[in-house]
Amino acid sequence: MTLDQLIQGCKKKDAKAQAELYKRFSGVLFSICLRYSPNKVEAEDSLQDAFITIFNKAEQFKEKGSFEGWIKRITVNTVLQKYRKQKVFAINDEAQIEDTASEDVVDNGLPLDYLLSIIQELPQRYRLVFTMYVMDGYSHKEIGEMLGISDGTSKSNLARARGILKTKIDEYNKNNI
Amino acid sequence: MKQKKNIDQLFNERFANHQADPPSHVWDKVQARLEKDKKDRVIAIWWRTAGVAASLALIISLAGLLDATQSNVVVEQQQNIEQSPAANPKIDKALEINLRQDKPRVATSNNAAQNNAIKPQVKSSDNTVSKNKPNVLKTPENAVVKLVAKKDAGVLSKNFPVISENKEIINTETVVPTGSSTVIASKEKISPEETEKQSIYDAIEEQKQLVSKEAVANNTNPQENLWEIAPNIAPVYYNTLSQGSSIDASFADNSQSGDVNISYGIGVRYALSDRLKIRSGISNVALSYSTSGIELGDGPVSLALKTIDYASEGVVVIAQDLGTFSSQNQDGTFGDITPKSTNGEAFINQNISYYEVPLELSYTLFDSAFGLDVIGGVSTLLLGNNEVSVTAGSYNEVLGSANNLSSLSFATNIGLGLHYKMSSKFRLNVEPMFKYQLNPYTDSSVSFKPYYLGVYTGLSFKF
Repeated sequence: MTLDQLIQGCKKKDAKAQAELYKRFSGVLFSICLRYSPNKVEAEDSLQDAFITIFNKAEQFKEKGSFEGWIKRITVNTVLQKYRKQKVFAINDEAQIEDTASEDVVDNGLPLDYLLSIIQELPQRYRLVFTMYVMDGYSHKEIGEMLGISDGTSKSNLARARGILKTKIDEYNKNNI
Repeated sequence: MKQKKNIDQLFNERFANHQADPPSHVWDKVQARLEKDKKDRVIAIWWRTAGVAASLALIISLAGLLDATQSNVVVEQQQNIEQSPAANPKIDKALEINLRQDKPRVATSNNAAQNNAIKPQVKSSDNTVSKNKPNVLKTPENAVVKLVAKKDAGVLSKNFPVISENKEIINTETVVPTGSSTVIASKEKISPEETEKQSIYDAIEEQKQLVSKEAVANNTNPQENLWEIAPNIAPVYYNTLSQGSSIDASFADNSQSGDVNISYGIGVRYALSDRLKIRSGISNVALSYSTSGIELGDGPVSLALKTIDYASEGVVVIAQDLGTFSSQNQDGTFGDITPKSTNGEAFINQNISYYEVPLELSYTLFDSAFGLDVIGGVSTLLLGNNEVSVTAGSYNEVLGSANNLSSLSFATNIGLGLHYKMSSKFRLNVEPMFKYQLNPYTDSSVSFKPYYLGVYTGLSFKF
């Protein structure tokens, strides 16, 4: 099945096409969910929600853009929607710090699982801002709008996230020389 | 080989083409939800259609009630009954009248009638003489004797050709001592009328009876078609009369709402009288209701709800009254539970299905084209599906089955039956029913008093 046929099938809610779409893209989308979630279980929940949204909104997909880009955006939005309403979202330490120049770390082939785990351990909003900015290329302005925070807060959260991650990586390197 | 790297670059590169295979149960859940969405859509469409149909039926039956005062419906039915027996009785009556009137005068029509009656019999006797002898002897001879005995010469002469003709025929068969002795004559004087009655009046009488039986059959169908079979489908709404919660006492003051599901099945009815029917059948009824004001977390089974038998052991999804986690966390009691980050309000849903066998009586208040019954009775409920799940936004997870539901329980039923006669055999039924469950829980301390409302719709067939 070509991607076009797959999309057409999903628009018609064809079960085969839906299964094939899941097979083809669940790996990429699950990676996103893992980066945006505090743990694997929640990532699974989000992936589930994302696919339901994708299947329900398939009709609305305009052929103009990239389909993969579209389903990735839906996935990010699904995860964000989930955390946006939460009180957990409030971070006590709101004193803004300057967006320092990004930090350097030593990479001796750091395991991906470890990198993922330290992202997941970040406080909710630090994690979201860091992932959005660094890995999914959103600007601070976009992040601010999507999370309902100011550009400044977004920058500050990013800097704090980097700081936490650097500390953890340094520590890991120290223990694994 | 130490390699200094910008932290952004490190993460960006490492995750650029990262893929992670989700566990297979994620797809199972996605599929299950797609299925459920499909079902919900069907139910929504059905509910809307049923609503329109029910209100239409109500309006039409109300209109029918008003019309009935002008007796349009009744008159129409009577006309039908009169038409069905058709011309037969009229003809028979005419014949009867003719025969009676003609007796003293012995009109030609009488002869004609008699001759007509005789001729075929005689003809047949030609072939089977021995068999038909008594008949031949009696009927034609009596007819002749009657004429001879009763009528004066003038009439006789008039009728002579006919009589002779008869005689000739008779003579070919046997020699009959016609009026030769007074005894025979007197005997025959009595017998002719009797035999005549047997041959003609009885036939008329028989026909009349047949006609009237037919009329009865057409008129009052219930006497003939006592049984009725009625497949039905209904949207059912499940809720409780009391506060309480069947899942956990801590949810007693939470807001709970019933959901709409589907019941389908087949009913059998037997007419005890014109108005009274006994009804039974079997149906599958799905019920569900949801409790809100809860929060979800992952934790060990030992801390989970006691009324639920969890499908898995170890870490399970735990539902608690909203605020329990945060308050418990401070003293560390619930330290093992990780609150779940969910999108939107969380609900705990109880899904139950029963196999229902009702035993009900219905009494017909009025019955024309549109009719109205009152229905009352009890249902035996056998527990089928039993599942407790949690949802939050688009998150959905089955926890397990409730362990406090009775596998055998009863309900009392009351309702109204609206019906429309599509033909003498088929009826369209719309029956809003209220069913109150008597002992749904094994634990009598559960103060949850569930009931369900359904609008049972279907066609019924009489046989």
